[in-house]
Amino acid sequence: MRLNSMKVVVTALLLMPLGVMAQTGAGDRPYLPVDEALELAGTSIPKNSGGQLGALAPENLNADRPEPPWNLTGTWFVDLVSRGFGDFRFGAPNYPYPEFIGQAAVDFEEGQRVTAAGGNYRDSIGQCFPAGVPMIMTRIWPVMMVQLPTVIYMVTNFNNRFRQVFLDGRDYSDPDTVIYTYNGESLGHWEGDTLVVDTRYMETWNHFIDTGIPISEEFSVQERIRLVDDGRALEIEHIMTDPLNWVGEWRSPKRWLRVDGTDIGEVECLPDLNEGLPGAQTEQFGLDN
Amino acid sequence: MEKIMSLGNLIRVVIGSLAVFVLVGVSVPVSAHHSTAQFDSSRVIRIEGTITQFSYRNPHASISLEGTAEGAQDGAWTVGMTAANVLRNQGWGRSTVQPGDEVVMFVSPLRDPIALNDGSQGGLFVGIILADGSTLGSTDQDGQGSGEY
Repeated sequence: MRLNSMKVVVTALLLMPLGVMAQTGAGDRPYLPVDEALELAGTSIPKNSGGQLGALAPENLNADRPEPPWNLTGTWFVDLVSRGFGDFRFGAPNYPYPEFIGQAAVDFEEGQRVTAAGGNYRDSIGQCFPAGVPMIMTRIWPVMMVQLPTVIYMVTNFNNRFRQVFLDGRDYSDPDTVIYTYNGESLGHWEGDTLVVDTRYMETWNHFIDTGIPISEEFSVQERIRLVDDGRALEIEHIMTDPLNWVGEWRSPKRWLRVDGTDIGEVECLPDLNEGLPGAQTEQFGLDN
Repeated sequence: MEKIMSLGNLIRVVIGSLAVFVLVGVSVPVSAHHSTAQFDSSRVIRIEGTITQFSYRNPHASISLEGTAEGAQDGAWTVGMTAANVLRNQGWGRSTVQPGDEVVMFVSPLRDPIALNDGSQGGLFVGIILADGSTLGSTDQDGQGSGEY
């Protein structure tokens, strides 16, 4: 009996660490000091090019800088009634196209021919590709904009596309390591009462303007933005250049109206969306697979 | 002696009426996503049938129904619509139509009447007469395409 009792005690002692582990696990482990945890996280946390402080870093937000002439924080909706529905486009019917050159000239003519015949030319947005800059700025959906001293954040109701315009004086990313995106990299600065936003580094794959007009990696957009009508409207002059696709500047003004009675919500372009959209299942001319 | 409308009042009435027509004419058609060039907006087909599915979602809603179509193929139809956000403003809700509802729907057909992925025919929503007789959209068969939807 005594030997059996001893066996029980020994077994219990041997199993006790397992019992302790079963009760504690990693969930009871104390948190590491912040600096140590960040160091261990290492490259899994992306870092800005050149050690640039993030737009939301307190040191950046609270840096001494002049007050901006205005703040466009609010929800906005593109004005497609003053100059008609066609104003969502950057060329015809309301504004002249530049002189297209090279492949863009060929593609433009093809696009005109296909659409005149009732076809669907490069409807990348209908296939859930991002609209990208500048087309995202004229989708008929509200856009929320939040302006901080260092950045303007924009989120569109249309497929919740995200733009950020940095106002903190930073440089563009290193051209060798920059990651091209559909809305590009936007830097803003003030010229009097005009916010000048320069955007470059836009992804070119299935990224078009109007009816299938392509852009190259040389494409850049300047948006000259004014807050007018007692803060109730934004006037935006788009000035677009792409030396590989057209000659000189392509200019197209737009107007946004402040809409206080709405908030944006979540909108996703899911893989099954087009099962309910006959137009998106017809032949898609000119899209890059 | 019957009172005759003064010239000034007559002018005001005419101008007011014209203003109404102008306002109706310039209303923004629908929430834009992509082109409707593939639809024949000069034609409106009447489909009498039964709802099989209603997808009330953004960026696009859609309705599926089985029915008889005047001047087009009978059977299954998939009808693309604008955003649920816009439909809501037009009086639609999640339960406006339900599977099993008997409706009359008006659609603009595809120019090239292909069979869609699920074998159905495709159209762009113009209007509907609901099971209770109420209507949404244009039901006079004079509906016009918007250019984008």
